[in-house]
Amino acid sequence: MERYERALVDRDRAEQLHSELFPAVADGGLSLGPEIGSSRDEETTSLLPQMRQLLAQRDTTISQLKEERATHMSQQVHLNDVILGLTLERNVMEDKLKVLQREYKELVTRWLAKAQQEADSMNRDVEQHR
Amino acid sequence: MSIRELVWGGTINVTLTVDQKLFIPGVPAETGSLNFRIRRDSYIVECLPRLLNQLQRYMVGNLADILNHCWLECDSTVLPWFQPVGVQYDLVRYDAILQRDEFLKMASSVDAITVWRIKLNYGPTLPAGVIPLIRQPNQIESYWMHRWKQACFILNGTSKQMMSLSRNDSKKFWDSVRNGDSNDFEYVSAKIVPTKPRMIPLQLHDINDPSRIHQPRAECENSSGKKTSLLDAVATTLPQLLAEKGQLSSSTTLICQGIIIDADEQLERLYPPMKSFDGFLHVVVVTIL
Repeated sequence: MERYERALVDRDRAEQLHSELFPAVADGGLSLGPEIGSSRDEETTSLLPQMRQLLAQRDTTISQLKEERATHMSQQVHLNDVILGLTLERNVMEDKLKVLQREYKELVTRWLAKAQQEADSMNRDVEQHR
Repeated sequence: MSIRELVWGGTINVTLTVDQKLFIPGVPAETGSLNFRIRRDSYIVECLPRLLNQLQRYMVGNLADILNHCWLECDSTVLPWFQPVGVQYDLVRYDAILQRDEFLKMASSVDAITVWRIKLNYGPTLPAGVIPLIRQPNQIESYWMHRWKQACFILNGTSKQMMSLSRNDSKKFWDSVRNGDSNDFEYVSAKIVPTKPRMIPLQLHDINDPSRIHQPRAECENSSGKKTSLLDAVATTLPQLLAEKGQLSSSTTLICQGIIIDADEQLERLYPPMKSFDGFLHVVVVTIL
């Protein structure tokens, strides 16, 4: 058993080298960074829950806005599609209109020519009766 | 100092690195590193809230939520929270124990430091095989109490001694572990541990398969009245470690409380001074393959 006692002392010598640099947890002597308890620090610490809440609020707002933006984007894409479709339709209609206008003009000239022909033949008939 | 005092007083220097995910963006990385000394005979998770409390001002989210979703790692292996710190340390740093004499010789001439570096990880889901901690710190206390009930049953053949502890004593018992008060611990454990135990609560941890814990039936005396040695207990559970003539093979070493122990030591003599704070005698079996 004495051997174990020596071995345990050796264990502590090896494992506790510079253990003074490591504060013990059980002592409650563990403190890091600025000392807790100074008035300035208390002020900051008391603000902490409030700030956390604010942060959480901001986070939700950000996610909401992101969602909104995504919806807007998809709507925009849809609208672009509609615009494209309408432009195409307009082009087709314009072509149709041109064809119709040409046809109309032709018809008018033909009709005029016909009317002239009729008028001429009527004039000719009148001349013969005299 | 007696062996018992040395066993109880053993500490380990630890550097704990906390997962950067837990901090508010912009907090320097060195803030998440904690240096502290922890008793070998304690649970590391038990003091985790006290440790993280120091860092809470830099952390995102609340502490209770963090504690439910974190786990400890050393060299990417998960450390089970329900094992004593000393056992976990011996399981991963057994090489340091085997080479202690050389280390001490070297340390006397140059400035050396021994630190156990571990990492606290955080994630929404725990890795496979990790038992979650959902009722801090009650879960740890009740787990430890169950361990003692088990140990008490093995020692006495009944858990009566443990069950009949007064409320005051059982509170004193747990507090002694939390605060490292050896007088209170010895006072209460003396009520549970008999002077002549029938069997010894023994656990064997194999470094090559650390997740599997062997708990052999370790009687103090065999049927012919011969005192049982540690080797006998190892032989029943891990017979592959024995060489010819029933001796331990030369590549195997037994470690208890951070020191190498003889395999032919009597369990009855070994248990009282070397027992861990959970009532069990933990032996780490090191086999160099």
